Amino acid sequence: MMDLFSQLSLGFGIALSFQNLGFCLVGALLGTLIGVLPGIGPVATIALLLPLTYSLPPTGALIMLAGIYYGAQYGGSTTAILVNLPGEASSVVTAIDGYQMARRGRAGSALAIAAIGSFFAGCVATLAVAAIGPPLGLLAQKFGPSDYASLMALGLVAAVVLAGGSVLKAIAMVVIGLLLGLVGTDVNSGATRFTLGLPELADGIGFVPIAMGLFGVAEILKNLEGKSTGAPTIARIGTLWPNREEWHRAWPAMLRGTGLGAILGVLPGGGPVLGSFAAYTLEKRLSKDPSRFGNGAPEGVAGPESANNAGAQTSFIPLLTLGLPPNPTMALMVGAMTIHGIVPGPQVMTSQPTLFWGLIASMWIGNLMLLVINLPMVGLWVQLLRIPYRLLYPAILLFAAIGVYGLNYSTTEVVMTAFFGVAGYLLMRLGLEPAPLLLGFVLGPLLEEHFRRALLLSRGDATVFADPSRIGFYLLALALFLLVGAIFPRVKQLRDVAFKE
Amino acid sequence: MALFARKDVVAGAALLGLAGCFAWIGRDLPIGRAVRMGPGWAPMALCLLLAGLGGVLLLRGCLTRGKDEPSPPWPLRGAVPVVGSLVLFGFTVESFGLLLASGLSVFLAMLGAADFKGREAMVVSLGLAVGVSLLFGFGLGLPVKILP
Repeated sequence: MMDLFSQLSLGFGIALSFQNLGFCLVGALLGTLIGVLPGIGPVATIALLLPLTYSLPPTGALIMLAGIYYGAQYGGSTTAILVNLPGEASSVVTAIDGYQMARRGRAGSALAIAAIGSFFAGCVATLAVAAIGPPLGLLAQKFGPSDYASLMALGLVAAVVLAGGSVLKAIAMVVIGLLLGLVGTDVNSGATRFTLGLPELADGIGFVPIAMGLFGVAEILKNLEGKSTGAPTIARIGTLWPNREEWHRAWPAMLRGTGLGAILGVLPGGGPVLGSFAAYTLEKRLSKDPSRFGNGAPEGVAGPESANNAGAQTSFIPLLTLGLPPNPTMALMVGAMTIHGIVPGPQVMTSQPTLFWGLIASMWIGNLMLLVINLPMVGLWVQLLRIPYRLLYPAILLFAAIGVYGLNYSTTEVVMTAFFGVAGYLLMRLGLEPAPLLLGFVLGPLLEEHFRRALLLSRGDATVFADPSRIGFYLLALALFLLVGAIFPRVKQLRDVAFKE
Repeated sequence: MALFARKDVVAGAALLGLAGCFAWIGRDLPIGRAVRMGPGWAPMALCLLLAGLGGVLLLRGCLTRGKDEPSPPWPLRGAVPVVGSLVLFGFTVESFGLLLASGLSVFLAMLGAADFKGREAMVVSLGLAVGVSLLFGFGLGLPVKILP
């Protein structure tokens, strides 16, 4: 316990340095900005800003990127409540009751409940990361190649099962991601795979062009589907203080949302989106009068908003301790860490304690900043919503182009971004979500490497994966169990319930 | 009601096609054996899996009745300028310099909006071009030339 405090104080020492406070603030501001603006999500923004972080120190870069991620959870609620448009996927359910509160003149109260719930959840979840991280990291250090291969298989399966939508399609997307991850020179044999004879592809497809194309450019194409590109109408904010009854209803929901969101955030494929949906369902179930939901119930704002922020924080646990990204944003963080020469995994905690604890401490500081940024200054952010999309997307596109180009000064990568943009849009049109693809792309090369190494060590004996004395066996068993469960109808029903609304 | 789930059928066929493409491109890679897997082992396994998934999706799509919802129109009006703008930037940034390449690609991208306004687009593309040239060229010291 004392250990935890000394390490946290080390972290605060790092995070409170003038420079890192600055990175944290920039991240929180940018996160709020993109959270407020509909049509550009945290994944796209982090992909866009990745190239800008090259010249930064690694700790500062990660603090800023993390700030963007959880900052977006705050900002997303503002748009959801005031305009009835979710700024982020994780704010979809907030819009249901948040906007109804706004229509009854309680917009300020809804905003305050969302921000306070997010802040509370952020604090609790940050502590959870600090407390759970080290023991889990110690456990992970005992992992051999076969355990890692099993763990990654579990991660991919869980991402598929929990990701909502068709399981079959999600698996197919993971497989495409795995295939794209194979492009380039094979480390073991030196043979080039799928390069079409292009020398630019010998090192594999860049992570940034894929991420930026699939999430950034494809999103723009989708938004241009012939809708009006004008500015939306915005509800009046009114007083920022919840009244006694609203507060009385909101705070238990904040507690429940925090707990649920924190747990779901750790699961691969979970993260903030799943947490907010599950929290809304839970609040509705627990309520004595479910008909109030959809008509401006404060619990319907407090629960999901706490859950999505808690989930955003705790999804760092698998990344920092196991090197396993549970969702696309975390996959981008893997990319960011790799660019800075840090291999994500349990060794980060021991080899880079300042980075690990500094990042955790910065999350708490960032949440405090976000409370200030969002509550008193909400009027300022609302003005942003008046910018019409026709002015916004060319700027996003230009930043994407410069960002990709600045990576390797390569024309090919800019063109590849455009290609993946079109591909991502076509996939969306076919009902194929690109998120599992990115996870497969990131985990694929790692999975293959560990899988091969495991079989090499066991002299080709695949039963190494079925050895009950290894933890990998249980992970693989769990993966199989989940996969079978997802295909069978009974579990599928439960899953569909969670994704309803 | 449509006779079958058209989206699933198209998606399944697309996956089958993709698996075929990958398999054909990687047809010369040696597959090896489990002890020492060749570079072609994983690609072939994944292609087979993808083809299987595509096939199931295709069949399932044919057997289930789909909703007869009209698909949204193809956003060619937006897509061509957006994609073109990226490609234009990629090919011109080295020869034209950052300022000109940015301005041209922003203007092209803005042509994609349904409510395109000529004068506004001129102002925005000029402003963004000057802005990013200052930010990236001078501010962040990106080693690209700014003027042709």
